[in-house]
Amino acid sequence: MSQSPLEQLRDYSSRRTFLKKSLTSLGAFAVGDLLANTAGQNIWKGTLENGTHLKPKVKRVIHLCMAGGPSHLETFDYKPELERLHGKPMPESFTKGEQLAQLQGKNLNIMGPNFGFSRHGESGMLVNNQFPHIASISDEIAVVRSMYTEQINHDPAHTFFNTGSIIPGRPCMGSWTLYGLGSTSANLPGYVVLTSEGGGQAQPISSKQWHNGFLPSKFQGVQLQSKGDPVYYVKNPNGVDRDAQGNLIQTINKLNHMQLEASHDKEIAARIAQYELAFKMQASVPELTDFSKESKHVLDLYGCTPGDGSFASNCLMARRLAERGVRFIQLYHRGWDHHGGLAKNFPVAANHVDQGTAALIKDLKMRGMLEDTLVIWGGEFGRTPMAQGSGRDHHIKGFSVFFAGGGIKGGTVYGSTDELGYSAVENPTSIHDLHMTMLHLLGVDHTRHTFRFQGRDFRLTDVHGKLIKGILA
Amino acid sequence: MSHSKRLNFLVLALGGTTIAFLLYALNWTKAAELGDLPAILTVAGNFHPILLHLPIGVFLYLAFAEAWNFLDRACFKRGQIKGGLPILAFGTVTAVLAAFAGLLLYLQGDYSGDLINDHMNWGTAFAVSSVIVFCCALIFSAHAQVYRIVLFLSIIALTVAAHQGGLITHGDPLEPLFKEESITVAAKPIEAITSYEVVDKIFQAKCYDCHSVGKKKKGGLLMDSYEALLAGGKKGNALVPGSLEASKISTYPHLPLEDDLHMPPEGKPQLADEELEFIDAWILAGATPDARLIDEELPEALYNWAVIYMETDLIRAEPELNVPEEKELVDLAQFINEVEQHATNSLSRVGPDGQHLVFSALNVRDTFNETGVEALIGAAPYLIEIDLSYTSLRTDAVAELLRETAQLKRLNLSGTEVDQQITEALATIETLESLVLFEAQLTADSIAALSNLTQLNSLYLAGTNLSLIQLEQIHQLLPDVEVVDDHFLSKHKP
Repeated sequence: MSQSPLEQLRDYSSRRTFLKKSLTSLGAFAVGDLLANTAGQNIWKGTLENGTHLKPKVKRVIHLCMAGGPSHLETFDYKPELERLHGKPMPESFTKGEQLAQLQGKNLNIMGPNFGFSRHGESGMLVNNQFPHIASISDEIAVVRSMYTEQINHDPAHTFFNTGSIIPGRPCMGSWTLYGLGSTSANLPGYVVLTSEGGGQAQPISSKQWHNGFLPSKFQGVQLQSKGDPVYYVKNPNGVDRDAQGNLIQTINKLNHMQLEASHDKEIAARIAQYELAFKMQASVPELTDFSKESKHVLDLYGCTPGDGSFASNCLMARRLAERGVRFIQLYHRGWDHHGGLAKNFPVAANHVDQGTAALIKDLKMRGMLEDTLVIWGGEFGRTPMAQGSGRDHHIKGFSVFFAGGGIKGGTVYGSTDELGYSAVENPTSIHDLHMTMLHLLGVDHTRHTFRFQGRDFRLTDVHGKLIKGILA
Repeated sequence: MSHSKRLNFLVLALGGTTIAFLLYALNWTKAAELGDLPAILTVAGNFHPILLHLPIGVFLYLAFAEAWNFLDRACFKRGQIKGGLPILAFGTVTAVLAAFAGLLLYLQGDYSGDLINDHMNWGTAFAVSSVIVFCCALIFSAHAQVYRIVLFLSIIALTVAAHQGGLITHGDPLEPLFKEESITVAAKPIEAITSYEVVDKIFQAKCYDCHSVGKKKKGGLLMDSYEALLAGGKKGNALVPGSLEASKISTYPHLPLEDDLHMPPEGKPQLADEELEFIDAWILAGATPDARLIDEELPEALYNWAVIYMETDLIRAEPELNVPEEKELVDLAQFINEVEQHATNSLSRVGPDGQHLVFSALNVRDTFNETGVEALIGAAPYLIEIDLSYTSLRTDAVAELLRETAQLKRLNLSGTEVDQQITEALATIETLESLVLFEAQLTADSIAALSNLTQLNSLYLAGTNLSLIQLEQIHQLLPDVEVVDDHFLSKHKP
């Protein structure tokens, strides 16, 4: 993609007008250059179409985002010391001068782990008893117990997790991935997002989390509905069949071509492409959502009714999207913000997520797809070792995330927090490191994957990013 | 002529005293402790660069005048010395002053090394000789030969001293004449390069002119050895391992260019961003003299920069070692155009030079046919992955494609028919690591042949028509292969 800065500026400024003018919900992703497409070129290829920087280990990423911030102390980070000191005041040496969210200026007392842990798998990994399904695949996953982030509230923390910057407006990791590697699906968007909720207060997730920022807008994430029709108005109205619809689109595109020849406005070309992909999706989306061929034991594995809006249903959809060439998939489960009632609500959230997560990984494994997929599971931050009433507050200095899939060494536990689970002390791992490692596995050198915008070469990892070598096979 | 004799005596006495004093001052200076001069003497020393040019001009003029006289004499009669006396007096006085100022400048402590030592010797020698020339001009006014000889000798001293002074301040003016491609750096493998060598190379290029033995020692600081860095200079610590704040080799370059303390000084070649970044990283990592570059925990970009920075020397030293072997790159774009006429968005180039191909028929599972496979055969030697899952191709076409591959690592035949032709072709692909046969329909012959695929790392057999006994057999015959079948679920129950 060698555009002059002027062309980039034009693209950027007109994208917004384009989205505003867009009449259908498909407008967000159907942007592209149809002229190039009709000339036999593929508009969905990325900048690395002539070769990746490194040999790729994986082709696609599935990010299971536990939105709200699950407690690391009740998932993967067992702290006996916390148990022993339950109810005692938090030593001031930990918290003095620290940034706290809602606990600022409050009495800080230690809360021990609410649920027990057991060892699982050949590695003997400690997993909380609330996650029996995930525990059953502990030999497939690598847990990083020493993640830290920079933002203590949900939306900025998600923004940082997705874009590597706390400043809204930067491209998210899914868009960066597509920008480099392109989309492998010819009939579906290359980057799809689904959400679900349950188990705690569902904090809002803004669509800016899957925004392309200054990258070409065809690389932004497309949200499908978890319930009912995944795309609104995807069916033809009564009395219109596929041929008639095709004729209509063709005629509109002919007219648009005439206008394009007269004006050379790229956004008209984009509009033409939008109509074409939308027409293709009228066929591909019903096929995507036709779960009738899923066998009973697969449905049992996930434990859901397809299309019921649950996280497990989204996981099944994620597998189907992956099979159809979608490169970047994000599932947000909004249910982990346990400021209060943790003992009661945490098991509910865990129950929503546990089986679907494990089912997805097992299903991918059986189909030989886990070895070229990277699965990332985790929240935007963790939760405090200190009690906030009956819950825990937001916590950014140490939390757990797990990885599974191609290039990942299963059964690994990497890094650790201090004895009270407050700060990452061994192998502290930043979000930039996570991004760098993700790109590395996709075959992309994060330092060479840049986009010039406003006179500067931007990259997902800014000036940071170290390989998390310890979790790699 | 008693008047003249008295004058001569006076001149001799004055000249002798001056010479004695000069020689004493030279000796005293060499033994003296450097630095901490009274301000007035520091200022006097700073005048050395101005004063020294005056006697150079004067003595060169006198030499020129003698040459002139020589020609003049050849044509008319002998030339005159006396007309030159006031200017000779001026030259002598400034030569002596310049020598004293030079010694004072040395006392400031910014210079060290053999070159400066020689320069002081020769500069003093010239000042002494200028006094002798003056005395001779007065006393032997009738014997011009004597004057000419001492003048000639003094000009030799002048030339040597001036050249050394020039070397110290401006470098060798004749260098361009003798410049050769540097071949002094021995080729070193990357494992043998220490971080300090990188730092030292940066210093050599940007700092040595003012901070090294044999050149200058500005601020009392030498930077040409690890020990010298630790010793620091007049302004304090140059290097405190682990602390950027305490290490002036980091803080001074970070100051704004306009700052008086900024180093290198404004107008001199500045440190590049990466150079400064590397110095900082080295200090933070503990600034040891012998830590190897490859062991440092550096950001990848910085490490790569350092490798390139150091290897420029290697390339110059032994060019034939470092020219990468010209790999013949094949233009794989032609295959992509050809294949994608049958299967949109199906072929992609991966790896650093895009010489590997990954094929997937996922967009055209229903329509991909044998003609498409034929188009793909041309690209087969470059394919590392093939995904034909859920296509309905004839098995002989698939087997033919597989036989044409040369470096296939991953094959997905999920949901397709697999017969003996295919398994026979697979047995010959030694590079094959992963075979996915999820929901594949296997013929009896092909099932038996699966046990021969010992080259595999993983084999996916879930959803196939294999019996329990057949699976058991495969597990037994392929102990080193991860065989994933339907029992994966029961083995991984919560």
